[in-house]
Amino acid sequence: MNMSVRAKETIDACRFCWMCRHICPIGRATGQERNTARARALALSMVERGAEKLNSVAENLYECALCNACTHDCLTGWEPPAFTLEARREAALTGAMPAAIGDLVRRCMEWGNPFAPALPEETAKALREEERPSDTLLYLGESARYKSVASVRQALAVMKKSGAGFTVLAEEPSSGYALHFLTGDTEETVAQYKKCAQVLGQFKKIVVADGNDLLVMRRYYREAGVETAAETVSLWRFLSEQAGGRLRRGMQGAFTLQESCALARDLEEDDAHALAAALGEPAEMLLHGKECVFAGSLLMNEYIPETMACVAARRLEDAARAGAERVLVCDPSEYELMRANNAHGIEIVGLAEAVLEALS
Amino acid sequence: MNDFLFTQILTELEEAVGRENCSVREIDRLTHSVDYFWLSRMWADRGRHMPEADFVVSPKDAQETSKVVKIANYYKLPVTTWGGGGGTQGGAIPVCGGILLDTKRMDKIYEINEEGMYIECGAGTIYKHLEWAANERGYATMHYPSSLNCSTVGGFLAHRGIGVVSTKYGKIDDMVLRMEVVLPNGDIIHTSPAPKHAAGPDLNQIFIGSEGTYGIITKAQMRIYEQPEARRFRGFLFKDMHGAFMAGREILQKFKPSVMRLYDDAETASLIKKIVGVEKPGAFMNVAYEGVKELVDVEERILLDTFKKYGAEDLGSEYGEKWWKEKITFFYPGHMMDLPQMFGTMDTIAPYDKIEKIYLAMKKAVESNFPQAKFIAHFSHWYEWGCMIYDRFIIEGKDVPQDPEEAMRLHNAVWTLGVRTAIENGGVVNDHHGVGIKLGRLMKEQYGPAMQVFEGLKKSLDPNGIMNPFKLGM
Ligand SMILES: Cc1cc2nc3c(=O)[nH]c(=O)nc-3n(C[C@H](O)[C@H](O)[C@H](O)COP(=O)(O)OP(=O)(O)OC[C@H]3O[C@@H](n4cnc5c(N)ncnc54)[C@H](O)[C@@H]3O)c2cc1C
Ligand code: SF4
Ligand code: SF4
Repeated sequence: MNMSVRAKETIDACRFCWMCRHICPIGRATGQERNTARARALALSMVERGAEKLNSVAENLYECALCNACTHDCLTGWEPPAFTLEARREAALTGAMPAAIGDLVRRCMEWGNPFAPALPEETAKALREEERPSDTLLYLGESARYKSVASVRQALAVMKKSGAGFTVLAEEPSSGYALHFLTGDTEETVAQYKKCAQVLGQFKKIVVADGNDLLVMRRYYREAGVETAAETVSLWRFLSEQAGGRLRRGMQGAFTLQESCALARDLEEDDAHALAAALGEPAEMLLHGKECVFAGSLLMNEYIPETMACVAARRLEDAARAGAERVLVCDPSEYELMRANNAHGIEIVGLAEAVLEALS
Repeated sequence: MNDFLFTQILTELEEAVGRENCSVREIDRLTHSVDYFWLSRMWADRGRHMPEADFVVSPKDAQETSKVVKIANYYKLPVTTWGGGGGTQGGAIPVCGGILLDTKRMDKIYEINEEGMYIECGAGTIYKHLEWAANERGYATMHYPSSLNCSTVGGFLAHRGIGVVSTKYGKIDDMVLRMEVVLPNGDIIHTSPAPKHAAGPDLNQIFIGSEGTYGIITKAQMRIYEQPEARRFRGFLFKDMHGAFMAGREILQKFKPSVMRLYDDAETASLIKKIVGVEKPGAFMNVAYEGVKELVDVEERILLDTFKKYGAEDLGSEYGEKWWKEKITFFYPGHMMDLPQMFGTMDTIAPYDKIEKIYLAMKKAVESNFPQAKFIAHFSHWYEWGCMIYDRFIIEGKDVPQDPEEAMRLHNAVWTLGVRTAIENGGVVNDHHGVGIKLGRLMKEQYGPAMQVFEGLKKSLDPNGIMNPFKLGM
């Protein structure tokens, strides 16, 4: 396989190592042995040795959420998502990609997103109303725009109430998140990065609503040598700075926070946590902050919906055990999937919505 | 098997556990063919396929497990149970194909009973998840093996596993109250409601350590403990092993430390130096004592007075604390032995009157017959009457044959000699890693005619011999 030396070394380190299985949200939700870093590494090591064909084990590559919990937990510092991404790239380039993934990639190329050819009418209308000249852009991301009308509505409302001047793009370019997730840094992915960076460059500040987009813009653009002059900031940091002092501390009932793994773990930003703490006294789930647990991806929901349902339901069990009556959710994907798989009667609230209510 | 029959069995298994929980995909068969056993890893490293199951099923409870076992019995298909695959003896490898039954969907926490001080859980629960469930209520499981993150409740029970604080809290067989087991004929049984009784032999202890050959453990009630008010560490350096054994023996007559680990000179100079930083020659011993603070104060005084008599140098608490922090670091790639090295842990156990003799005899036998092998050991898990040796042999990659059959020959020869020496000198085939396929051949040497008790049980419970064939010497 055409992979970096580091990826091959990681595969050989992880293939016989059992130490991070407990932390994998997919493994935990499905109970399947294949959903471990070691299983993926073992399969790829067999491909590398000519004992297995990439296409016969490829499906499993896309069951990893690239949430980096294993990386964070690894005491020797290996990064399984890095080899997984390189293997996805290899699968894309050698025709070993499963058909369902191929379809999503085609959609990303044709539609500019993996979900739909056009925005939901309500979202399109809301965005048209908010387009105005400004040097601050609220970047919503494709998960919210195509799949979570509520997240769009909440983000727009809280931005307005915060008093910030901002605009949105009815024709928002993809950050490249989906293509990167599905195929790694292929030429096509980098072309999307460049196109997006060019548009972002027309603004001074980009307020990014989805942690996954911010991670791509901050980390993967840099790794691919793509630059943008604009300053990127998460919605939560922006709101903390803009309106943190104006929040009413009156949230009733026990609540907990579902952080964005990309923000809390990969980018080490805890603004969402600070916002939640300003609203009341959150009941922490056992794994939070840098150890927070992935609770679902709308992109993965396109091809493994049962798994995503289990993942979201599992996270809600954690919230229930922490005694929470309400979960404040940061990312649009997790917001939608937790709402759709809520067996505990817990109230699922967007963090933006909670901040909106508390803003005087 | 012909396509027609194969598909017929597949549809029956799908009906039993749900289609999504029954797989014949290569990824599932492959990942269930290599466990933590060195030979399976070496085989894969050489690009060779280990034996794979035909069907991989993940039942969610005893009822679904029972259905699978009934199908297997009807078609006379082998059933190999797989928990976390973290076993070192090849116990979970489906050497005869057939059905691989993965328990990890049986991971429900059914009840946290604070009055009875136990958690009832599915046997496929990863032990670390059980620990989290206990921690959330302010308790601890006190079962801290290095494989806490990866192995299951059922796996530890099936293997008679042990954790680092066992000297105070016991082995896994001391930590279980009650179990639910699916017998090879599909019957679902429960062991007695309490583990200590006079109502016949102990059913728990028949299934604990049976490595999936008598049945499948599907649920267990595992003990939880109060978190200790104080946990303190003390490192010591002994000039010789004999003094260390005698000191350890004397302490166990007085109180039970939680951790007690004595490293021989070779392991002190290698692993302990690398990870804990002890530079001086000698045998390092790390002791932890814990519980109610006032009692811990007293225990500390007794420990220091006793060890002083045996000339131990008191190294203070720093090394012990570092060891505790790093206790699982030893097992990550880069810290742990790994291919191309050949290695193995020949843990055994014996009373104090034999333990030193066994250690010296095994060391001599391995090092003199296999000059390419290094032999290191530590002694952990101490009882009033004896302790266990965790001895390892390591052969550097340059001395390991590249040819997998030759590598297997060398591996098995070292193991046979090492374990046979332990048995001949009064030790047991294994202390806590189990037997699996690795040591099955030595079970008869250990037990002689007593083996018929195990075999008799096997014959009556599993007349078709479907449960985990060629493991445990049966
Ligand atoms: C890094 C590492 C460190 C380790 N350190 C320790 C340690 O400190 N202490 C220790 O005791 N062990 C240790 N081990 C060994 C291993 O964790 C134990 O042997 C453990 O008991 C295996 O559990 P598992 O769930 O992984 O079982 P598996 O490997 O899946 O199976 C082991 C055996 O048990 C049987 N089995 C599994 N589940 C069931 C069930 N529900 N019912 C019936 N049979 C079943 C299998 O058929 C097989 O024979 C370590 C292993 C690793 C990988
Ligand atoms: S990431 Fe680290 S802990 Fe996980 S399998 Fe790889 S080496 Fe082991
Ligand atoms: S990145 Fe996340 S989903 Fe993927 S193997 Fe690691 S822990 Fe599991």
